[in-house]
Amino acid sequence: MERITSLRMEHITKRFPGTLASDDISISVGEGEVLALVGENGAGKTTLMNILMGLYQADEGTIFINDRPVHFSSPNDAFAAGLGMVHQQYMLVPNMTVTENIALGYKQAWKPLKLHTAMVRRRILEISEKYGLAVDPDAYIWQLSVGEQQRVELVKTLCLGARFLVLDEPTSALTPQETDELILLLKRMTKELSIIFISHKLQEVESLSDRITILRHGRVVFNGNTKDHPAGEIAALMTGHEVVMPVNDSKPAEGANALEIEHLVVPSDRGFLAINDLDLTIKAGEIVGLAGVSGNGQRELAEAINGLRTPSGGTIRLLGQDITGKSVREIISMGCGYIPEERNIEGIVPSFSIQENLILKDADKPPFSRGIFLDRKKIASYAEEMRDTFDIRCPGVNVAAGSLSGGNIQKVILARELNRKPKFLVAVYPIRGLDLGAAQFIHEQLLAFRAKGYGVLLISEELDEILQLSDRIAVIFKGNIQAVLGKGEATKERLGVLMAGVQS
Amino acid sequence: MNYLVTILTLAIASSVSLLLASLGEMINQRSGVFNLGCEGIMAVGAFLGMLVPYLVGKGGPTSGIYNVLGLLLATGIGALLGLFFAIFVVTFRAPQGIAGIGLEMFGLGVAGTLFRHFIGGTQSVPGITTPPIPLLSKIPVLGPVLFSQNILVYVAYLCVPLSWYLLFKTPWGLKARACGTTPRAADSIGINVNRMRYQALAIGGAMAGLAGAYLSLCQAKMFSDSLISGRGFIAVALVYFGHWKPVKIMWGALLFSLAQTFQNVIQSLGINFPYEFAVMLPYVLVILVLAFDRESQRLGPTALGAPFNREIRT
Amino acid sequence: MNKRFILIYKSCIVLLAVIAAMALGSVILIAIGANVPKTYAVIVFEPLKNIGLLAEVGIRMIPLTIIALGIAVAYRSGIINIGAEGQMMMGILGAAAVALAMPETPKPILIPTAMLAGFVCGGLWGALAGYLKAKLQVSELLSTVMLNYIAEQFYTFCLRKPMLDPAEITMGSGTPQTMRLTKNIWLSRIITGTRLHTGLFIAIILAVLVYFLLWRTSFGFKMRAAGASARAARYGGIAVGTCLVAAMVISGGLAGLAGAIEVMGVHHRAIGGITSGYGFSGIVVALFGGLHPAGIIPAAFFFGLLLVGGNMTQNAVGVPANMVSVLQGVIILVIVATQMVLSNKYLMERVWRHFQKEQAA
Repeated sequence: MERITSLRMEHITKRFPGTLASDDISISVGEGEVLALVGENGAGKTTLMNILMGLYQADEGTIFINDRPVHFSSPNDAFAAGLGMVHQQYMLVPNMTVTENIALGYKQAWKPLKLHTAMVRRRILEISEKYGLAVDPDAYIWQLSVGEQQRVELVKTLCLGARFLVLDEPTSALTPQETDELILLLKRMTKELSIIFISHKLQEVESLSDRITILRHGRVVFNGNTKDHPAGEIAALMTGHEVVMPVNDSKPAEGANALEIEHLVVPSDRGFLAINDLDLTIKAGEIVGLAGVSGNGQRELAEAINGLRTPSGGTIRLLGQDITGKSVREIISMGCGYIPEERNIEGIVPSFSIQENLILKDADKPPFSRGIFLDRKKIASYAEEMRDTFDIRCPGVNVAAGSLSGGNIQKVILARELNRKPKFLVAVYPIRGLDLGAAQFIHEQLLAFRAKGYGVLLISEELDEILQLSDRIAVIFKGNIQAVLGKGEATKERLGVLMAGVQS
Repeated sequence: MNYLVTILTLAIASSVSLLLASLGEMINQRSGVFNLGCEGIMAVGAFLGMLVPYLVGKGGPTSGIYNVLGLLLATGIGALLGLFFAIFVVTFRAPQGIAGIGLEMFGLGVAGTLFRHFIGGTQSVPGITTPPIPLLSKIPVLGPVLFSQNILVYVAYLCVPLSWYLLFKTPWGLKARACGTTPRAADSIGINVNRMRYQALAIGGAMAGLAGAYLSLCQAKMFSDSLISGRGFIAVALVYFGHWKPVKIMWGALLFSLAQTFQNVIQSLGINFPYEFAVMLPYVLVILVLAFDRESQRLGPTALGAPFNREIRT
Repeated sequence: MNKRFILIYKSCIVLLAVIAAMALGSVILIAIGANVPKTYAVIVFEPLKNIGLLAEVGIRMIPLTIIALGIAVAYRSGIINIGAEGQMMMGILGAAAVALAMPETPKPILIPTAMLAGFVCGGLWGALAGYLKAKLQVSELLSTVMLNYIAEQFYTFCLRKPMLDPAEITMGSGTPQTMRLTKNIWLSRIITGTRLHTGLFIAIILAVLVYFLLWRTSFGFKMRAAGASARAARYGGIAVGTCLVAAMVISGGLAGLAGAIEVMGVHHRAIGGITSGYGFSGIVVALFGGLHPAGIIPAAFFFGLLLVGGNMTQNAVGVPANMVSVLQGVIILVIVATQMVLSNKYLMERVWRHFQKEQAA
């Protein structure tokens, strides 16, 4: 197998409907080098890597390996050239074993009439021993934790012969401690491999990479050696402008209990208990951040509060009234606002216009309807008003909401939720995938809502977001609250330990 | 006792079309495609199956070769119709449910049109008859039930272990199943999701075509517009009933043909019971099974019915 | 991209779709050795040649429009109703039962009662599939098909036993049918000398009502939201299950009403074969009409033409009437594929850039 001594992508351009995802980007990586590809969400990092892996075809530009131009029309070509990628969302088949998942790409084991599983298993054990990556070849993927799945992904790429690794935000779902372990492992691996890794976390970039390329809006804005540039300089280059994220620095209002959850038990889709005996209280006028590695019951908790999932035990009280087992509609009318996790499929009806989405929860109430009929003039004027107040950038309020950018979709949702004058708000990953400008706007709105004396449950996996906004921070692990920390006592390290399930 | 033997013998014989079509549909669905047009492919298969012995063999005492040609033609055109369907639901990513209805109407229409043009009215063919297996068929009860069936009965039941082996023991099956549950993962590891689905639809279509030909050549020994009468749809439902597993599907096919045979026996015995309600039985059974088998809603391929598009993330 | 380009691009796709559909139909026509252009000409133009045939087209438009309206309501609410055939049979039974039970009732009371009975019977049959989907997650694609077969058996049973024409018993010919229904239930003719009846006006009024229901009322808004994205609708506090059942009641009810009107306007007795595939053709009409009342009426006319023309091809060019079913199937397949192509912005932008490059060069 030929070594990869250099890899270059030159003048790569890729267009998606309405956007230029990659605009004349060039990057290069030498042997044994670690390149950090840095940038905000939506800067084009993942698109560029998908082009490198043959998943997307570039509209313009060329890839060179060892100075020879190559063309990857499918991931198979990229594998054959010795590239391998661990995607941010793991690409594993949950109802298959580790062996089967790797066999999917391990062509040597494909006999025409039989799959040679023993061969795949040998290969897995060989690789896991060589790199110190412990995996159980017979475990089903759905049985594994996020960290273990990532190990499987790494083993998979190595089994398929990767000599050049691409890692897309490898630490995004890990606790701070797991992150440290991964960085150590990757450092060991650089003896034999070159690595491109995508991140937007400065710490990791500093400790792991040799060189940095910063992307913004699909363009390269910086290229240089890591050790020559201080962290502050890189941070400024990443965003391109000074964005000061708002911080919650006022004292919490000592209000009445807005939300009280006692001994809550909620089953998951698979039938096990996603929330098990959970207690949590949120006062009026405070933001409680719920920190935790995703998949520990956050979704189920938010859905149970909003009546979308029926608890099998315990009680939820909103503003003193028992709402356990009430319908979504009743809970909405009692004043609970909700910014759901998946804004494109839960927050809006994508094919409906902006104005229709703005009245989704109130279509049958005045002023939007008279009797059984919709009042189309009122709806249109209301939508125009919201468009101005919430700065929703759109060609018109009649265009399909699904065609807007993520930030504007989130503004539509926020406009709908806040204008209904809720008395409590559940916000799940409110700024995930948004650019900093939109994120800043949304955080300001959340703080303003709190300042009016209402309670907020903020669910997020970004510790920075939680630390900036919360009055108190609760840590969730396996459906249970590990601890609730005050604003002063919470640090990233302490939260990280708690998120991993270690009781302090 | 005699009735019991008759019912069982007939039930096994009439389970073949359901079993073949259903196993084919299972392969489609395991790869992520819901093919509601199975009924239409079966109709075309049924017509073509009898066309060769009728037209080329002049309807006379056909030698085996024409029957075999009929079966091959039905299977081949079935595979082509599967590919034809794939153009719409895989390449163009059309919604599979409604497209399936289109294929069903197309298939029934094609079979009806060609039938009226080439054959005209009710015409029967000698069809395929195979002698009972010597010695074994002499065993009381088991002999007539198990060892004096048509050769295609054994072929169909052989498809149960074969389709299991194909799905669970070969690289092709592993890849197809990955496409049915997590196409993005399959794609990222270099599997051509759409090509796998084309292949799966070709296999499923071939089996549906053969199932249709069995009906016209072995079971009814004739063709009519109402020959299939919902067997294709029942085959689709059987996949849910059988939880996408070959052996369970086999039991399902047997159960349903037992219900159908039972209804025939009631009629032939002249029991004073409105036969319409007996005819309803299998259809009612399908609804009951779909409504009350909660498991089947959890076990299906998770990407079933979702066209794959690499450019769109969910 | 400019508007002119978008218009030309979309027209080209639609044109290609039409050509593809005709080409696919031609494959079958060539297989039976028919004269392809002549066959298409007979189907599309022959029924336009005299008023009698045109009236026949109108007669077929009535059930097609009403059923397609129902299918559009269901489709927009997220449920594909393939069960119109069975729902129509139930509607026929309902209307016929009313007429048989109270033949002396005066016309102004009997006609609305019979229509209501048709609507209720069809609606209940549809509600069954809606309930199965909403509460037990049974795919409507399978349940409605099964309910069709069940309804068919029930229909024959009713005509053979409880509702059988007494004359059939005495004469003993055994055709399963009811006696000729009272004249008080007959819908009057629009054009004398033809069978075209006032059901046509009812169909047009229903189209207007369905438009108002879906686009002007808050309940219609909720149904459409549930259909466009069930998950988002649920998160927005909309009772998706209720919307599904309601949509199926309306959809089944309209199919039942179509059956009632067919009996009252054309056949004047319940007999086998009244539905004659209208339930399935209705799906094609609904899709072809863009699932909108304003499109469904012309679409119903076009498919009425196809059905009448299809009956004439056997004599004119020796093509069996089943050819219409082939064309309907092809049209469904081509429409759903075309919709996907039209909504593919990625493709459109690529064509646009290509087009710009050509212009620059």
